[in-house]
Amino acid sequence: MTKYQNITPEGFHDLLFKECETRREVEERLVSLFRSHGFSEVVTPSLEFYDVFTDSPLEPECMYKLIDAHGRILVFRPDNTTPIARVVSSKLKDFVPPLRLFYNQNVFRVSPSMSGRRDEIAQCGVELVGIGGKKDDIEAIATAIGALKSVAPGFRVELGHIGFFKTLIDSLPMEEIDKLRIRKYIDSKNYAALHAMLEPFEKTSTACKALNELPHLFGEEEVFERALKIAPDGQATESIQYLQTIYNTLCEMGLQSNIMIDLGLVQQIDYYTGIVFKGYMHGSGEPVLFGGRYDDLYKQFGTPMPATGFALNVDAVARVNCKEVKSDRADLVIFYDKGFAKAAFAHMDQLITSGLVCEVSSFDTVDDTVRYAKQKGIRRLDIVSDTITTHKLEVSQ
Amino acid sequence: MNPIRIALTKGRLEEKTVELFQKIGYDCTPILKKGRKLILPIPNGNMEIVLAKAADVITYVEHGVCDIGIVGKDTILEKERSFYEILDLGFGRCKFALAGPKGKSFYTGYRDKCIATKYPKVARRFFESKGMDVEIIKIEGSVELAPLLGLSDAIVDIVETGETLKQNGLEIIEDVCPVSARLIVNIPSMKLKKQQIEPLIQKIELSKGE
Repeated sequence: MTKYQNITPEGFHDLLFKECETRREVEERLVSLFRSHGFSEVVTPSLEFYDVFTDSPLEPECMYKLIDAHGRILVFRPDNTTPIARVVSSKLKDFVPPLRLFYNQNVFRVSPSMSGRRDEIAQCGVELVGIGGKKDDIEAIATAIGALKSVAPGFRVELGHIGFFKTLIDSLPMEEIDKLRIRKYIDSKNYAALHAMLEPFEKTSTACKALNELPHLFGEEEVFERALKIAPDGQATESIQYLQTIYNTLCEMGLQSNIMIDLGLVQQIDYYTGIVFKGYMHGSGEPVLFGGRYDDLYKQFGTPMPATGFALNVDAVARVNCKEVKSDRADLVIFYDKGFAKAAFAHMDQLITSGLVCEVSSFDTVDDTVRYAKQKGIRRLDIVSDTITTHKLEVSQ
Repeated sequence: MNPIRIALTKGRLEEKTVELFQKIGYDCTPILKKGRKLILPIPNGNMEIVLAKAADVITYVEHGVCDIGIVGKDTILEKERSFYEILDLGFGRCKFALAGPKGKSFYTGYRDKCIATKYPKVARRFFESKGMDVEIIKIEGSVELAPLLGLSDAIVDIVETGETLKQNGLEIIEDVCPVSARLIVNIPSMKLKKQQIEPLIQKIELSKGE
């Protein structure tokens, strides 16, 4: 036997029975929701040229790569939005906007060893491409909330606006590397380090004062008031006001209890260009939904267009839902005598339409079938011969 | 409401954290008389304390099985994981430093230097920021031995008083960064349990100022 014959690579998993069923159920609900909201499905290949992702916010280190027969670098798709931008820019560029697209396919990412993270992640998400503006922002967030509602018992979606942070940081006379550090401190709510870093600039700059407060600016509606008080005039204030109108509209739609605000959402600032949002679910230690507006992505494919969307981590949601385990076993097993196959399968079809889960016995004798049924905990045996008889089986738990 | 679960680094930080919790009014008897129990409820607060090794504190918080963790910056820098790093608690102060045999110059010559350390990622980043090629060897125990035995040119390690370095004929070549105890929070917990977590953080922050 070879060394790795019986195991899977780290970060990759087999899904069995109930695990599969929960995941498929999550997928089906999301897919039918997206379809009914006018989104059309796109499937892209698992392998893409590395060139598609060279401007991606994902680090090259996190991509699984291989070399094709001509020596070119390929990657296992590390994200869904970028390949879809490629498709739209090449094959759908003459279609009437907006394009409402959805996908339901895995992404592959190298995660740190022994961290308990998955390297193959089932993602289901939407892209709204071509028109941009407030209505699309509202639709994206409302669809995200609808998606979580259909699959997660308890959840919140958190909204932010990347424009606030970008305006503030761009106004500071600082090296890029220091700006990167400030962003990281805000992202990890590292108040102490942020304060120490900004102190030298603090007295002179309103932007600095605002940046210093940024990690605290999360919570409910009251965040807007606090933010507007410290925001310098101009674009920073406009970003907050824009977010507030989106927030108010969502509240009018009755979604207030599902949303909250965090102006400190500052990841992937070179990718997102406006509203950003994240979804959290009770029982999951990581965010389960990521989304936002990324109006610059299509530029790199030669067809500048506004776009927004989100992706749901189907595996993370399914893992939480799978904890309530239902039984995997069939309701009954059907044994048939030689020559009664047709009758047996007809009988099975009839029972299936009444909602039962049936198995046909693989064994040649009733005794073997009974033994098997007892081992599996199946409580009913139907024997199909000249007549059909039903037998109750005693199952010890 | 489910209790907030706090992962505490066993050992030195544990004592200091218990002092801190007592100061803000929590009954810490279960921690002081813990015996062999690993999950300890706090009687007058809706919270549970989990005692763990530093690196595990980070793992538990990152995966959300603990909401809050108290852990040294040294471990945070080495693990590079994602969570909120909310407070510098001010205790457990020391620093990362590059140290080598006394009187021997480190930054000269063209040969790639060899560095022994318990913190390979911290060491790697430090030399990357200098644009300097080095060979890093991971050591599990007393790192000071490596240059003495001739395995490495220098070490990157935590330095508190500098006494161990001195007694072994080593000296600090350069400071890498300061270290102290931090309060970290799982990201979804911060959002979904804000009403429970924020007041606790505020209490701790206020008591620090006293």
